[in-house]
Amino acid sequence: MTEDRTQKTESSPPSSEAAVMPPAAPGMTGPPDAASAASTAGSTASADAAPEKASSAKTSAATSPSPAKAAPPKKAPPPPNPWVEAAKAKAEELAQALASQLPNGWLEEVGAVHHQPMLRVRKQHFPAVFRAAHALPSWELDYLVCYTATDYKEHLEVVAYVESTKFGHMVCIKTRTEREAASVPSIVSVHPGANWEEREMFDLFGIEFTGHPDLRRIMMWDEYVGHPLRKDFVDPSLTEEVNRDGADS
Amino acid sequence: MLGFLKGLSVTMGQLPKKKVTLQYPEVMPELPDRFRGVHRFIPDLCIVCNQCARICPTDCITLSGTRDENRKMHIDTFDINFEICILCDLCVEVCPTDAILMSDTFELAVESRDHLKLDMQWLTESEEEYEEKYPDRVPSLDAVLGEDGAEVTE
Amino acid sequence: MALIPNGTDREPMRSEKGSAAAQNSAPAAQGHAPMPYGGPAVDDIRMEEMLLNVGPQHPSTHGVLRLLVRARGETIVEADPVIGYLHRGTEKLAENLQYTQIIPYTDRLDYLASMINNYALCHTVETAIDLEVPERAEHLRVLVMEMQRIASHLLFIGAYLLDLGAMSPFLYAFQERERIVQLFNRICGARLTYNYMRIGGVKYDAPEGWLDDVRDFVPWMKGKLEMYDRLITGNEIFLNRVRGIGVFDTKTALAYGISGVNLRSTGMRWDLRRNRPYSIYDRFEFDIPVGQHGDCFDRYYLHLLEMEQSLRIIEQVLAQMPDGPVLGKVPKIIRVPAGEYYCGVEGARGELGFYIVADGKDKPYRLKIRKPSFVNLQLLPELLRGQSLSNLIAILGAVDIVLGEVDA
Repeated sequence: MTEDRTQKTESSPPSSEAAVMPPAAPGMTGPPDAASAASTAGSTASADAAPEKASSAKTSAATSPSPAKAAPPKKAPPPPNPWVEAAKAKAEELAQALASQLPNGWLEEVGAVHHQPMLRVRKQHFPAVFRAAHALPSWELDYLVCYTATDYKEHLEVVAYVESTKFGHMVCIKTRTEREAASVPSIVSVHPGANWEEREMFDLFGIEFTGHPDLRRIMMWDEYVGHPLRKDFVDPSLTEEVNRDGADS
Repeated sequence: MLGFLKGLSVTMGQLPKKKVTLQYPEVMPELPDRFRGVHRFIPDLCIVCNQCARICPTDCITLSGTRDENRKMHIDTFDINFEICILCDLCVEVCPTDAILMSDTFELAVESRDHLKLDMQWLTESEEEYEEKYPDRVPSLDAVLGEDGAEVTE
Repeated sequence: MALIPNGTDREPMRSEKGSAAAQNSAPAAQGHAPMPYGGPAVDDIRMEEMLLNVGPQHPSTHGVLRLLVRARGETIVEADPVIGYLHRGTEKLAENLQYTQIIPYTDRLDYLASMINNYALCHTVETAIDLEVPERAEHLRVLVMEMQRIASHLLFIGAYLLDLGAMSPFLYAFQERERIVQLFNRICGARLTYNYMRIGGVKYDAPEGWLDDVRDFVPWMKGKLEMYDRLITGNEIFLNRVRGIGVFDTKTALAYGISGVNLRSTGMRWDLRRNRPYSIYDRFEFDIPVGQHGDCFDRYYLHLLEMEQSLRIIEQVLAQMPDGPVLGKVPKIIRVPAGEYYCGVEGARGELGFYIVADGKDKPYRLKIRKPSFVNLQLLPELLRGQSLSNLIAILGAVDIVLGEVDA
């Protein structure tokens, strides 16, 4: 395809791409950001894994000294996973950077979700954390990747994965709310793309997002009663006498 | 205007080309041997292990069997509810004796929902039809069963 | 398309009393006095907002999307997508299914790109249980995924042009797509709901001669892409129809979480195959074409360019195809250790992600699908605001949604 097209394509083989691109985001299997892993965690293991970035992400995950592959002797406590440690260190780093902009008591837990840094924050400060993380220099978490909720029977947990398109960080930010009269402040003001996801959670989990511009059911119809993705939800069609051989299926 | 004419030349270029459509149903499509149509069933091979019913994501298979005097299980009923079957092939995948397989029947429209309850007889007939149609694709029963009827283990 | 005057309660399909569009339109209807008797002055011509109902059964809505459009004359004041007509509760169903059993359900999300859906789920589970996939399986996966991308993009181009009133590209696109579908039919036995991938590999190895047929397909398809370029790209009617409409910039796209071609059309070089490398994509050379204007034409043209890149990947996969098993050492019952896992892959429409909360059992405790169409569709009201009604279909078509995925 030639001619005077408006598009421009940039031919770049993978090797040179790695140098041009911002550091590859640590996907689930991808190695942690080499610089931060080496400096913060001081983990030689993940530093060793970093040069393999050029090869397959999957292969490098397999060859990395994760406890599952190393097959530690039984009964001995498994050695800390370098990927998880690096993620935790990164989460600490972010928490410290954010602390100055947020009131006391905003943070409830710092940790890692699989190989991703995780912050669990108090729900009153949920939008403030996103706003601060969005504006934070050298983090700029500007892209809401995945935003959802889970019913843990004792409480509901709202989970958001945010990513920095500039620096390649991916961080998981969580908050918890009680199941009865569940409510969480909306983050639509920071990430407009959260709009429908919050409507979906309102619909399927019954979480009230305060400050949401247009909170109403999205998947189910407006007259529907109940929140299907809650664990105690019972499908009315299963409890009522329904002719299973007949029209209903 | 030029681009428009260029596009028209492409269309004109199609005129002398051979048709790619098929005069279905007069001409039936040729389907590969992996094609997943409606099931077919070989009762003689079934050992009533229930694995197909357990793996089925929509729970559309129900079966029952009895033990004969040689302590061997024999299938009595085998029903597939085609209202909810999604033709995912998982039952065929788990079957240890290849008693349940897929045929090339893809025409699923029926006049009544009752016709969607496929029982063992229907499924066996489906197998017979398939064997008649593709004799080369079906291993002979003797190859699967040993001479004395015992299973050949590979 | 049904025209519904203001102030009536008779909205088809669904009561929308709570909807923003319905609420906002009510005062507008009451605010106008009856026409004064005897020849109105120009200022007094009755101007009233009209509520226009598009869908849910309309071919150009690509499924069962309903749009409530408030229009003032020819101009759209507000458009409110109403979705959920195809909601099957896949996420809830998955909570009662083993991981392998969920795979056929993923076929039915974005039914134009089932292979990629299959892969996204398998990849997430494999990441969670740290499973190694055999080389040949990984190559076959990439091969079918890129073929799927071509098939999906072809259908986009065909359907988009059909929306805009061009009939023949649709028929050509189906002809090309048919060849891919036939190849898929031979490798996995289905034409639409493939259910081809398994956790730890793929279900079947390629049948005899299949790889050679794919090898023949690539140059043929390249010729066809040139044909599309000649047929469509230069057409003045088409250009006038799609240039400069539905424009948005990178900042808006990122704020709305837009991904895929929609994001790249704004000039942002963002492709998960590069930015969050998964599978074996880092072994292949391919470009990420980006647009400049972020308009509907860029989105159309990027689809064409991406097919070219997919063909490049297919060529490289075929050249490197190793021998070996196609299914790894997988435990009979797959149990995912307790924890939370998220993996996103570059689907045909954007970032397709699976978020799994596992509790150590063979079934997920919670499964969330990050649906690219769902997220991308949110931008539609913004794009439509202030546009002419005649641009509605052109803009909607270019966003490229599949309702099976939006509603999940």
